[in-house]
Amino acid sequence: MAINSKKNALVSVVDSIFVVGGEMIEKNGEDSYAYSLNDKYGFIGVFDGCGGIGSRKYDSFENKTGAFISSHTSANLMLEWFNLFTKHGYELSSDSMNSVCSSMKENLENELRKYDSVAGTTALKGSLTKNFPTTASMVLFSGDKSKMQALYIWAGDSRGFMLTKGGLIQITRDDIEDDGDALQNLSNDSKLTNMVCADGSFHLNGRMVNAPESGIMITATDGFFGYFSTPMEFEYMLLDTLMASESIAQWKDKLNDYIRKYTADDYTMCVAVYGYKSVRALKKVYAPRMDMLYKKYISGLPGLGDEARIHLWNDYKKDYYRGD
Amino acid sequence: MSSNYRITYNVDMVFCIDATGSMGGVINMVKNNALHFFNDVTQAMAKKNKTIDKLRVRVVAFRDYIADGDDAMLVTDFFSLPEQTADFERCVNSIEAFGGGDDPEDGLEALGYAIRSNWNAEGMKKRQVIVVWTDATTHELGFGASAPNYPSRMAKTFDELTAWWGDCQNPGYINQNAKRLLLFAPNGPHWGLISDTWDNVIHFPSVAGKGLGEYDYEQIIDSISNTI
Repeated sequence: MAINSKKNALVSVVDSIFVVGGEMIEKNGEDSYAYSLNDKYGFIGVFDGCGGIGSRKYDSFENKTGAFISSHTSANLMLEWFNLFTKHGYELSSDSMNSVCSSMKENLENELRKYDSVAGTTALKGSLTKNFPTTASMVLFSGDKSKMQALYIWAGDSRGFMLTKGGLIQITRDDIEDDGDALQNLSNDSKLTNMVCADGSFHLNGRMVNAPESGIMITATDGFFGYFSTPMEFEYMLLDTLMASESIAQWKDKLNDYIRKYTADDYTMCVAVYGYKSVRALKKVYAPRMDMLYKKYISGLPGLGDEARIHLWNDYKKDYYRGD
Repeated sequence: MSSNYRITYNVDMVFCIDATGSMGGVINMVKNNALHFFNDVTQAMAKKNKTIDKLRVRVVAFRDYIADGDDAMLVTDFFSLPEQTADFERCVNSIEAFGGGDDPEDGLEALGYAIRSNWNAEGMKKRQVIVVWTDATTHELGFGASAPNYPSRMAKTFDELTAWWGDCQNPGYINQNAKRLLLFAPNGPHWGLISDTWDNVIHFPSVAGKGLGEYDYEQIIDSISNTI
């Protein structure tokens, strides 16, 4: 489980970073991801090319869709950005949050504009078309054994979470037309109001979190969390697969096996586990939470009517949105 | 953990077909496209593991209230597919291109009928799709109001029709998240204005979709079947 360590460096605290992903149409998956870790900083990010408004195929780019190109380009670019950020030794703090978001945005916009400039024109018009659109959900983090700071950065409806022994917290807020909560958003199919795209008409949201000494940071595209009947089942799936695993590799496989059966979209989740040292310790910390979650929220779900389901969710979401 | 939970989609489509004489050269192409369109959307959704629970299709064939009298507007109920596929095909195949009078047609009235369809409000996720095939620009709304069969509850102005379509602040008669409008129409009034100002629209400026390439068609189908 352990990543090679230097005492007191971030790498000694982070137990594992991994990604789970899959695509609906082979070699044309419109999700992408990036992750990296060094002595001082860590980075995880997922990108979901918007296949509805970004479905134009480009002759000049091997007939790939704008959604595909944008998510993959953005992932690569943000990895480059992270390496530069690290090299220059910038500090991660609440004060630097806005400049980090601005710098990322500028880089994304400039790169996607380059693609746009050689893409040529299309005969199709209307608001259902956009050039090179993708969501982004990233976490830039830094810390040591005593503290961890995490900057969640996002555009669109890919999400960033923090999983602790107290449960799953959604840190990000979806950029969508409806102002519904995570349960309503499962069925609303609401339109995105903000996404990374070539015309630069987007913003990157930022939220700085003082994370606990141990925890699990997660970024995920909607293919991972959007096909459950309630948000609490997403948390339960994370814990249930963890408890059935003896290693991180097994956990990763079980997550993949589960989600690919039920999703109707490309799916990607990037996970950074820190502060536990071993899978045994990790499971020990989360076992009580899983028991409580099952007894209180999951076991009664089958056969519940909409009203009762909403009642359960309203109770669960007090913790799910804690920190707001 | 086990789950039998599956998100399903209810898909409604309304096909507005210009059936005036000038469409004579392309009417068979349009009818063929209409007959295949719903299948192309359902296949694209199936490819992405999106399960359609209920699929319904409705037809609005339009001409010109002043010039064509009782033949100005043919409006059907929804056909449930695949159960009523034969009825739907018979309906589309029965459309003939004739009449129309002057160049513009009453396409906005057809769009008004389509927007106020009895959409399926049930189900977890929905798509409510209107497709317009025409080779002509449109009259102003109410141009044919002197005709005895002109609908009394039609939108009086383009602004009112725009409100019927709705936006995120003021939803109209069609589900804001589910709605899609696809125009195979020339770029003139009012089709150009609709594609420039209404949300959830995709427009191929042309004579009823003539000259549409394979990639553009795939893009259209994906923009309808995917979340936006």
